[in-house]
Amino acid sequence: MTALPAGDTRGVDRPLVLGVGNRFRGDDGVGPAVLDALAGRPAAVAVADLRELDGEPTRLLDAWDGRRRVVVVDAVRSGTATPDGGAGRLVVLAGAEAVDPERVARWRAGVSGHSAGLAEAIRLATVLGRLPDELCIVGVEVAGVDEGPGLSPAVAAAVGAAADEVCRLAGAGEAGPGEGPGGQLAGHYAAGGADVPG
Amino acid sequence: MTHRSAASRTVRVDQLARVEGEGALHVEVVDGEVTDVRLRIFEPPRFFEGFLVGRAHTEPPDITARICGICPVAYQMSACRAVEDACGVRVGGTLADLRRLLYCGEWIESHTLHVSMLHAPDFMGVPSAIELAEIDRPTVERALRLKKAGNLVLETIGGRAIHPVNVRVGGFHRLPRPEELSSLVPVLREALEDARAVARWVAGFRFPDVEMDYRFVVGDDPGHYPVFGDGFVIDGPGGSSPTKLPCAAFAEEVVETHVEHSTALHAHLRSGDGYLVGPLARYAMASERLHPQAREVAGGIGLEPVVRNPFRSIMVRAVEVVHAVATALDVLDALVDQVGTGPAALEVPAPGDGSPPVVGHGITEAPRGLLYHRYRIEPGGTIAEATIVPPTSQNQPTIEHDLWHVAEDMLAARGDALSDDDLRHRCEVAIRNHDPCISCATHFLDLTVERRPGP
Repeated sequence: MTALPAGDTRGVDRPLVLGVGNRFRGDDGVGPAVLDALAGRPAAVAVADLRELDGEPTRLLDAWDGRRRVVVVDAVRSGTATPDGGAGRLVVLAGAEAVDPERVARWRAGVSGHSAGLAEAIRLATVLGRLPDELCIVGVEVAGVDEGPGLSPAVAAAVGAAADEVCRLAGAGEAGPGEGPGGQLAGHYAAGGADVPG
Repeated sequence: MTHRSAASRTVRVDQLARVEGEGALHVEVVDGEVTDVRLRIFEPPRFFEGFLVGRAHTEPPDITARICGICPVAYQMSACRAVEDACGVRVGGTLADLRRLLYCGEWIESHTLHVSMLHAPDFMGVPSAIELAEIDRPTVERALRLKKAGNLVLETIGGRAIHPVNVRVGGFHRLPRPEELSSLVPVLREALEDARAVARWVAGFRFPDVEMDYRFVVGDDPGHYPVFGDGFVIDGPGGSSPTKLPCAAFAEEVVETHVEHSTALHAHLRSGDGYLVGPLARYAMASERLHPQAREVAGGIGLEPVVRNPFRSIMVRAVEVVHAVATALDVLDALVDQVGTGPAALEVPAPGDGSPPVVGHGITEAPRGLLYHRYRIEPGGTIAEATIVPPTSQNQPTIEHDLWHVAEDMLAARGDALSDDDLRHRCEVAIRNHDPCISCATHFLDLTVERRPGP
């Protein structure tokens, strides 16, 4: 593991929450929006570090370098959402599922300005031995990613629930640090997330 | 989808990998001849041009930085210089040096990503950097280390954020402390060794033998290998002398036209010629101003004085990384004692009430080439008009021309025996030669190769 830069106050033991997305691409801004929500929660700020990223794979690797527990919040477009429904649905992956690139292969597909994203980061990190000990992913199904700021109503309505999820996974939720990744909740949502083509 | 018959076939790729963004390419072959090449770009930064209207004259650096996650500094710098030009302010001295240092960080990071992670797999015969890491882990680790050094410069000067938040019109919100600057030196010294090693590595690749007749256009950065443009320089046709022009002449010399197959504007010179911006242009027009250590590397790896083979652009990018690291070290050396003695930013007052509106132009050299901004600012500081011309839209006609040439060459050499996969792959590489930052201009790159029988 690469050492943190001198003067860096982050601790390897503090969970890192990465909000991935672009605030100027409609619902792709949901990751950053969840970070904003978390920044307003003292319980979250007390236990976890928050960071916004664009999803470029090597930046993800650099960001989570040396961290034990990382929660990534990202936009998902599974192709199952319709104009009437599906947007705002949460997909939570933890444990082995979260580091299975096939499972997250379609994440950000059509969302990112890049043709590479979280799945490539997971693949590359696996080869290089740079995966965090525990990686959890909270995905929010998006409706539209047209240029311009602001979330669609369905996605905006899901931000609070996504932030709850992140808190729980980062050990800052009401469930407390004891119920972390890989627990029942993650399994429940993972089952619900089976619509996301893997 | 692939239809196989010697004279009639269609090849389609839904998503071109390893470019920054998304777009579409269509190549049509009729009876063994290339009849059409169209590179389609879906999303120009026209949204941002509209979004800027009505905003304060201090806002373009923050807003335009959002256009591109890979080169936000370029957008910030062209925006700052255009607004400052409009308001009659010239940022020099320590603040200009810090800007140059920040820009070096972006060149290091962006070029390294392209050279080692996106383009090198083409020459190593692997699908992506992931497979490259499997067969040559130290090479990928070296790239990540080098890229991280660039990122550290960005974060130290620009502030830690997805987009550098410390940049403002007139300078910076906060100057870095001397000890912050000093902490970059050992990292960049290691980066210099890594950058040299990358240049030697890519020089060993095998390149297709191609020679293109480019017209080059670069920013005019007196005394420097171009990063900032006090004006711009157009290469003379057929070896005649280049023309130097002020930034204000850019919109007259470069004509943007709508083309049917793309929502983006295609840029041409007034003469109708396509042109090329970016590493090949900078190197051809200003290689004598490269940092001596970069010149030495360029000589050592056998780089010719003017590179007209687009496949060899990877070598030029690698040399530019050496240049950026060495320049950053020089700037740091000069800055460490000076920083903290002056203001973090100059005042950039908008025209007062009752004054006429003002217009300003900004040119800087993004990693991919010349990036032009123009703003018209009303009294009180409201932006009335914004124009942004990114490097990729300028290069688009030239990339199409390259593709045409590459496809014709391959068909001439191999005819119907040429597989669709080989043709498609060579076209993809030809696009990646120019590191198109399509995220500042577009979305998914579909690649279609269509072969049809003649009438």
